Amino acid sequence: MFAANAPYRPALVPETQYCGPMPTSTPTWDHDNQRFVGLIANPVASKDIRRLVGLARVVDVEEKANLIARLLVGLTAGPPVAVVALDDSGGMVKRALRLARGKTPPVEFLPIEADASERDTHDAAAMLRAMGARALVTVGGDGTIRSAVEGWPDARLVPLAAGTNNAVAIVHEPTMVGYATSLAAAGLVPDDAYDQLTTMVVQTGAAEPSTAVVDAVGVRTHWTGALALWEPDDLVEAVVANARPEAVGIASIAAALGPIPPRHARYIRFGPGRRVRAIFGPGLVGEISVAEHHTIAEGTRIHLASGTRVVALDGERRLIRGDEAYVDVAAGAFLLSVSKTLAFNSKTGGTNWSFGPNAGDLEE
Amino acid sequence: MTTMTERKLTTQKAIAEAIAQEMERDDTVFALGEDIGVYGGIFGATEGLLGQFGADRIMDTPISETGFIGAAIGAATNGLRPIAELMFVDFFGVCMDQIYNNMAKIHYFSGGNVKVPMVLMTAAGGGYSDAGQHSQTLWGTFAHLPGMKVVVPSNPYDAKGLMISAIRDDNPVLYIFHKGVLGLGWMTNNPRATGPVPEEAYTVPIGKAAVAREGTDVTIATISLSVHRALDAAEQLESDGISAEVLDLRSLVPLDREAILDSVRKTHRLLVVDEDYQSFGMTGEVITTAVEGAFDYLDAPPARIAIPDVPIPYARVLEQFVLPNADKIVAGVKSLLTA
Amino acid sequence: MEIPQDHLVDMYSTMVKIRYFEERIREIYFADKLPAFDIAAGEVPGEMHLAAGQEPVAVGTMPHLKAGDAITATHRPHHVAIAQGLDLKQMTAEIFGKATGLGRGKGGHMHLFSTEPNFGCSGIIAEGMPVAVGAALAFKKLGKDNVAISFFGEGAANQGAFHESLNLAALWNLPVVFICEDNAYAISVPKAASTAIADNSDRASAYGMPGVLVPENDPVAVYEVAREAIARARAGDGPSLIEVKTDRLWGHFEGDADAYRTDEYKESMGGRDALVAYEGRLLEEGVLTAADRDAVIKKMHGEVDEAIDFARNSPDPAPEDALLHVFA
Repeated sequence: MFAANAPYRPALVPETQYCGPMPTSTPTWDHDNQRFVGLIANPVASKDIRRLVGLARVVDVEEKANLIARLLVGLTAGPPVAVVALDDSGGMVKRALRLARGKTPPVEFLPIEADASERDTHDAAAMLRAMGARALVTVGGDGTIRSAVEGWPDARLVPLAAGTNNAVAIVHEPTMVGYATSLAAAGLVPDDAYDQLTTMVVQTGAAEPSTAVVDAVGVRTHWTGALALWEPDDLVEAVVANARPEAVGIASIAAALGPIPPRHARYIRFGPGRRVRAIFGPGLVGEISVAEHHTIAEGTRIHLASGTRVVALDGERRLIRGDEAYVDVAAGAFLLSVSKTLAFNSKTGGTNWSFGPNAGDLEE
Repeated sequence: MTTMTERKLTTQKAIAEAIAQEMERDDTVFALGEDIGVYGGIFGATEGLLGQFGADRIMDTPISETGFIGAAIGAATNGLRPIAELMFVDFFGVCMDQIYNNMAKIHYFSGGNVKVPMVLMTAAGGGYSDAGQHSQTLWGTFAHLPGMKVVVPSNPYDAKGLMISAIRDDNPVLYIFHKGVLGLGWMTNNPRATGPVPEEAYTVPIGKAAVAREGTDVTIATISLSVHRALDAAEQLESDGISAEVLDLRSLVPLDREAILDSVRKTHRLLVVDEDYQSFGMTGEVITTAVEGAFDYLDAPPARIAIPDVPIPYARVLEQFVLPNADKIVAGVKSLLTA
Repeated sequence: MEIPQDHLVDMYSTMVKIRYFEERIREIYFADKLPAFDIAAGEVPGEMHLAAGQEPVAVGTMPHLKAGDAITATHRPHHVAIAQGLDLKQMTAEIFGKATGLGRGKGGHMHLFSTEPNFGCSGIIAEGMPVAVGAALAFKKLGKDNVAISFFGEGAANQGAFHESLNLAALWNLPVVFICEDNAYAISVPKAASTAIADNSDRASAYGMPGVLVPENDPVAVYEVAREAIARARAGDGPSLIEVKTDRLWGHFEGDADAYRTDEYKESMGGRDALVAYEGRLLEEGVLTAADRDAVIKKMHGEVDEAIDFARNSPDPAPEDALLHVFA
């Protein structure tokens, strides 16, 4: 984000104040032998300006906590797996533990003091990767997934949808997603259980490159806050991956221009040319002119037009410094298919694993 | 000052007529409150007005006194002249901050730069077994706090004139009407609740008392329904050869201290009657006014009748015990004369 | 939509002005109350609630207002009042209790009232919220396209008046924008110890209006959201609630030992000072040169110093004036 200052930090609650009981312990787990998955939930997803400009859904913190609670309960449905989570600044995971008290797997928190910035998600993902998490569950929108993938580029990803634009995220019932995740963490998945995402690694002239999962859009407007509001005149060009025609946003424009083969992305240059229908966001119907477009394979580099000052990565703006600005289309993280996993599980009779204290020892 | 007229209205209808006439005359006047629309106000203060002026100007509100009285303040400081109804004066507890800390102080805090031309009207009083949270009068509490005018009419003529004055006043005016003076069909019949009311709009000055009945032997200073009781008592006393002057204060803020002193200088005896709680209220204020300004004229220590510092009880016999009535006033006068 | 350059610079200038004003008031406030703190002593007696750190919420909102728009604010009003453009001399004189003050010395720092611009504030938590609703009601009835803005804190969001005001505003579809300055502490009580939910912007949908969270204490972020919310209200689309996570750099009141916040927390706030961050960004992006920045600082400091001198040189009100202006 642009703001050089880190955003909100939560207020500390001294012990002298009564706030009602918060869960302090969940079942203990054997750190050396037990599988675990990572969990990163974003408290500020889908509460932003798009709520005012379009008709974007609001998923408030309590609702997200409910989603997480269902996910956690679902995680106990398969082979035992523990959870290592980011203790988010909205306290969502803790609220979820309170809601589902006694019905969750072991949950432990990362030693990160979260402040609702992207940095939290990025750092948490990197940490979980280093710790050996079997999968990474995220709760949020495309922006949340983007930050997570930036921290863990080849993650086994289970992104639960709770954001404004959910082009990539999973919209199934979280309990089922939790169940599928517990199976996946134990390796009880078919070979094609994961769809590898195409990713865009974007060099903006900053010290480290950034990542986009859905779209990297070169934008004319310079002075704005962090989040994208699409005015057609602002758009210069876009590189779009993982686009499905039914996904709202720039992705829908890209997909509407024709099918995109797997391991490919689409490049679009906006400008006088073919007018296409564009659904920019929830409740935001418009049009845009596409001057040219072509499909690009993974491994291709696209230089952004000179003079573009800002690129929006899955909606979040980055300033382009200097003259080096390009997008590398690459192979990315692995998205778990919930339906394939659960179908496989039912086909194999659900008996490949067993209950009991040693059930966590299964090899992949 | 009373114009001769044949037309008689109840106090309730006089209030509704005053509001209607002012709303016709001035587009910026509107009313808001609970049940003031279709219902016409629980006590009929806005009867018929919804049909005449529509829902834009006669606004039914949710049960949000802080919200809508605060909104009335905001409307009043931004070009409108609202009449907010607080259904029962007893409900002031949930919104008192907006009344005494906000409405009453903005003009002063702003050094006179910001005016709050609003009327807060409310129903008060007991005697019909509505118990402790629906029978109070409480005008002493409001009169005690600076920044709002307080008017309490006792009869139809004053009710209309004072409402028109209140609406036209650029200050916040608390307009308290006793349910027992309204002449409502569903309350115990009160012949004094009906009286001559001129058809045209007219004003009764805020801050001026009225002599409801002239007399020479004692001043009964009182307000609201107790004026009716005092008049009844005066008639009884006359047959006992005692001439009682009944002074209807009509306003508590500003209080017509001169009228009190004029009357006391004439009669030399003072009985104050108040349907509010006795201690720290109106009776103390009126007596102190007399003592400060006309001490040498007093032939006896002033006396008072008020509710004896207890919550108003429900049972009829208990409630009647605590409320002022004509018999207590007669006894009080007689005891003043023998003091 | 691009933000005009002059808005960017104006926001910065106003933030400089506000911060310097609060610093000077703080200095003057303490100067003659020490060594043993006597709240009644000195040039500026009584309570003092300063808004250092909260500048972005005020400056991000004001560029979208026009003449006649109404604002109600809190016991911590200076940043809002200055940003809205109240006469700084009269405002300062009022804080000093002088006869030339906005209220002729009768209101003081928590009760600043102005008709142009249309501003009022209150020492009672949430008291201004219904009043903003009423202003919006008047604008709607009078057919004006003005809006009302209600500033309040996260503590006020638990007061009854908050809930009543939001319901009324949505029920009557009024042109009012509610802006919650979440500075995380209501005096000494942190939000986690007062509020059952995580974000007050989530309360909006319970009352039938959209709620938006601005998680950064950044004037540009506030500017963008405020622009949309105010445009909505002006267009007749009704109220909305904006919540901004901001920082109260100093104690609740001047003289507050602020012992209930850890040193670490206070340092972290200093490390993300919005004024420093915004200035840095403007310099880095070339919107301001160092020379521009110095000129702004000089000008803003000059205006504040002038206002303080005006206040100091103004007469006290005559004692008997205390009896005036109860009634019009």
